[in-house]
Amino acid sequence: MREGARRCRPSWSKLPGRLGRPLAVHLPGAPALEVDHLTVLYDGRPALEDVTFRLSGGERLAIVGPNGAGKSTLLKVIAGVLPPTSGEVRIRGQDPCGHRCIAYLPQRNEIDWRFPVTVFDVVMMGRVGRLGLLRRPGARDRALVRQALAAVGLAELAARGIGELSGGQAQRMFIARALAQEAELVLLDEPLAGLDTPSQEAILGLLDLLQAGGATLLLSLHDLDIAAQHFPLVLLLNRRVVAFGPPPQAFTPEKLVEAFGGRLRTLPDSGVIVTDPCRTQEGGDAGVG
Amino acid sequence: MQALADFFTSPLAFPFMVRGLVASALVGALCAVMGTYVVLRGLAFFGDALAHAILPGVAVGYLTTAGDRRSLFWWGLGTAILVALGIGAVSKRGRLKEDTAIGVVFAGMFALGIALISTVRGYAVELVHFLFGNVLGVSTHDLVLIGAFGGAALLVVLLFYKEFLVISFDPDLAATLRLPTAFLRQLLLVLIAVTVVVSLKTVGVALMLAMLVTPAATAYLLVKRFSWMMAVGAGLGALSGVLGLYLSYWTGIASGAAIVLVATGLFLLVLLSRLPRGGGA
Repeated sequence: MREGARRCRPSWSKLPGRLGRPLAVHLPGAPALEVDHLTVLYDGRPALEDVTFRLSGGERLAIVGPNGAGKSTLLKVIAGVLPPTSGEVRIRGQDPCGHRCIAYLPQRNEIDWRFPVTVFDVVMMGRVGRLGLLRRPGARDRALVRQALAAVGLAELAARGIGELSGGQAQRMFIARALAQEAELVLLDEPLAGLDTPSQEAILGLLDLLQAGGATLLLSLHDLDIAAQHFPLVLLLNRRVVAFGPPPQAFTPEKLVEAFGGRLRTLPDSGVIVTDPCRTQEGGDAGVG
Repeated sequence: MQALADFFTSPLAFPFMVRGLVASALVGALCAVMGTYVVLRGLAFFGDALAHAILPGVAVGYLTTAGDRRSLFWWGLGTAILVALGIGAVSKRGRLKEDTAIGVVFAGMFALGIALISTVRGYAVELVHFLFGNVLGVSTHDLVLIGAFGGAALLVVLLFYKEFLVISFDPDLAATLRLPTAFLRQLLLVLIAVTVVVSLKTVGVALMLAMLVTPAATAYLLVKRFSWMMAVGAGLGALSGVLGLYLSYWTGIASGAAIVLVATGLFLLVLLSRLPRGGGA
């Protein structure tokens, strides 16, 4: 732990008194998310520097940047999993730590896929925060989990071990967990990485579903095309905010070079190609037309 | 048929065997339940280190109470909990990697324990008992302690089952659900410490790791749900304890070693039966 870091205090830390510290109250009129001069240092080196932006409820934002740009760090600070070194994150006007309405969907490689749990078990984990200590899941929790699984099209696979899931199914399972968690702010860390196009389409469809339910969405993405096509707002990040706004304004050649630091070629049809040196082994140039 | 029945019943004529069998079964089951966390969270090295690091505490108890067996449990328990909390605290903000820090501390404490015990004349027998257990020396009082503390540890696991599952599977989820992650982590380490101390007399310091890891690992190969892994592991652990003690009785092998060998045999059996068939590859 870094020194001076503020960490989330647990909601039932004051054992054995009244369990459950009062949760953060959503202030009326406060933005769904405010990130205010946020800086995060790892071993004295900045992972994020002076990041500032805000989102209204129900919006969706794609965070785009090269590897090491701080996308995961930003999502984890917003989730209240990592403490900021300086600056502030406010969700509905309050510190993230008081909120149970934030879902963070991990990158695929952060999970041990040989862990002995079923798809149903993982989605039920989304209920644990609301259940509280000493309470077992009840009929309502099980119904919510089944509903969430049905919504993402995994009802048939509820009893499967998680090791048997494809990449797309795994991602849908985590979206179901966010639904079961009744999350209002959903943070997805590279949800489309390594998926084929049909699976990506399926996930993008589920984002619409989450958004229709009133959730605010933040995704980290590698693919500029998908960001430009499916997101009304993008954040171009390379430790600092390079650009924030609608894709046409954010994805200008100059900004893209600034963010990716690679070479940039202007195509005859006025498109651009950014060559990200970090991505060459994945065989991908990030292109936008 | 009669021979088989005799194999199991004739040792029961000795009260020390009955006590030993009960202790082995309880310890085997308890170790496997806690071992589920040890296996899934990669805490094997921590468990081994903890078992070794309580030796100086037990040694001090042994020296200061002139060998009063009853107080040794409490010395061991106190040391184990201190070491568990200490490792939990150190590993969070040390400059060394966690396993290096644990290695330094545990080897040093183990050496201190041996040094302390070696100041007693004729220490070899005692040392062997600490290292490899002395299940046939288990008293009724020991059984009560095993039952009480083992039962308490299992009760805590039951109470915090869903929370422990979440921090084991996805610590970031635990944080966003606002669970008290630091508290739960420390609690889990303390429970493993209690398990180690409760099992000390049955399997000893040196073979403790096998009881924590092997039956749980066997269960891991057999089932795909966490709760089943605990239940099957507990059954396998208890079975290893009982069969191992019979094996020890009839062959004269050291009891701790026999128990661990049975557990290892069961593991290999399951592992081989799970290998893909055909071609032998």
